[in-house]
Amino acid sequence: MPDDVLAGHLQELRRGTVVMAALATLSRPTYGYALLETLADAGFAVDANTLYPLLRRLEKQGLLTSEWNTEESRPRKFYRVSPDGQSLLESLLAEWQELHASIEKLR
Amino acid sequence: MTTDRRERTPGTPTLADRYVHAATRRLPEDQRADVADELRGSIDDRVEALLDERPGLTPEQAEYAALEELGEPERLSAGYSGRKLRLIGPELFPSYVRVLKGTLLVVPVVALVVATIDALGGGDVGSVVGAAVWTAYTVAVQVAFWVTAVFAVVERGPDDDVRESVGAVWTPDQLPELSRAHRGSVTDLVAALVFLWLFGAAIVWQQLNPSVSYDGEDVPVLDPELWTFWLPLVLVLIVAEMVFEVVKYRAGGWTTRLATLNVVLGAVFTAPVVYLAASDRLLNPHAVAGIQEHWAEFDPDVVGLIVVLSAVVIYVWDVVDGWRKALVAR
Repeated sequence: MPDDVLAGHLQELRRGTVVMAALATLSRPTYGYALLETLADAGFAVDANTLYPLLRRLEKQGLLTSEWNTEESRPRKFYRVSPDGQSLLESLLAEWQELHASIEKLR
Repeated sequence: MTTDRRERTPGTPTLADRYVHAATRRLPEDQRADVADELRGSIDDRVEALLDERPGLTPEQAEYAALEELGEPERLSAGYSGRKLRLIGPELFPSYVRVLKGTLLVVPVVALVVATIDALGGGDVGSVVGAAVWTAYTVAVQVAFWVTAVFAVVERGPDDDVRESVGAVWTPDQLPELSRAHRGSVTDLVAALVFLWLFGAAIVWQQLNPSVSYDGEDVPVLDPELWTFWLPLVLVLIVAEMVFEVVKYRAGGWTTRLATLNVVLGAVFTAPVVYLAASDRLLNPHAVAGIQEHWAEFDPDVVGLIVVLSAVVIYVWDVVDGWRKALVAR
């Protein structure tokens, strides 16, 4: 199989997991750029121009809360997962497990 | 090394200032400042990280690289606002194409009507063709523009009723008929219709705009006597040939039945022309005399012979072509 085909499918598969990865990471309050770095290090390569609007959207949906921190050298908006976000993450993870089990059964 | 770009003098906006402005200016008032502050901070974070990673960079180069990574501010802005970055999306696109094709069918009709009016009003060949081409172009541009504009508006209105009314919601009822799905060649149809129309227009035109001068007045090339019966018959047969071409197109090209019909129709069409040309009744005697004033060797018999031969050759070729295609298509 050509490498670009594999890469394309992997990227497609990972795209749907960015929300899970972000919700999981944000159990600790984190600001946008740091989250981007953390996700990249963990293998979730998401573009900044996708992640920043995504954080806003998740916040609007009540899945994240945010707070400006002005104590550091530069004011930063810290996001943290809300109770709703936490329960969404649990649901998504349960679905994830179920999908894995289903696929295994199909093999 | 920390560079806080907020501390720059307000009079010299940096690239990052311009970027943040471009990315946030279309956001709702209540979010704009907050998004701008956060985006500003994220850019500064990235610039700082780049300066750490690649110590050779100047702060300006790092800023440039950071903004380049972030990409088109419009895209970011659309991400924040949920705005659609497309004129007509994939949901509406199929019905857009369907409606566009359907409405563009008026173009040849309108062009034909305008050209005919121009021809009847005494326009010369150049003006008739010019009017047809210009009308076709103008109507096509107008139709394409307005259909596109309507769909672009519908794309931005999330109302399902509106979408349904323009056919965005597909149902099996919209499936094309099979006979319509296998149409004949559009090129053949258009070529045949244009040829027939030009033929008919030429007959009318030579009468309305006599081009041969004889005895101080302009006379038509074809004998005006023929208008009592023969020329109207030829015009009717031209219309019949046009109908035949449309039927053939809708039937999906040649069939043996159409090929048979073509033999008959072609014979009915060719016979009067051959008869008139062979019996020397086609040309206006005054026009012949007028031409002979300038060109003494002009021989109407030669013209008649050429017309007869051309008509027969075209007829035979057309019949053979029709049968050949009908048999191949079987």
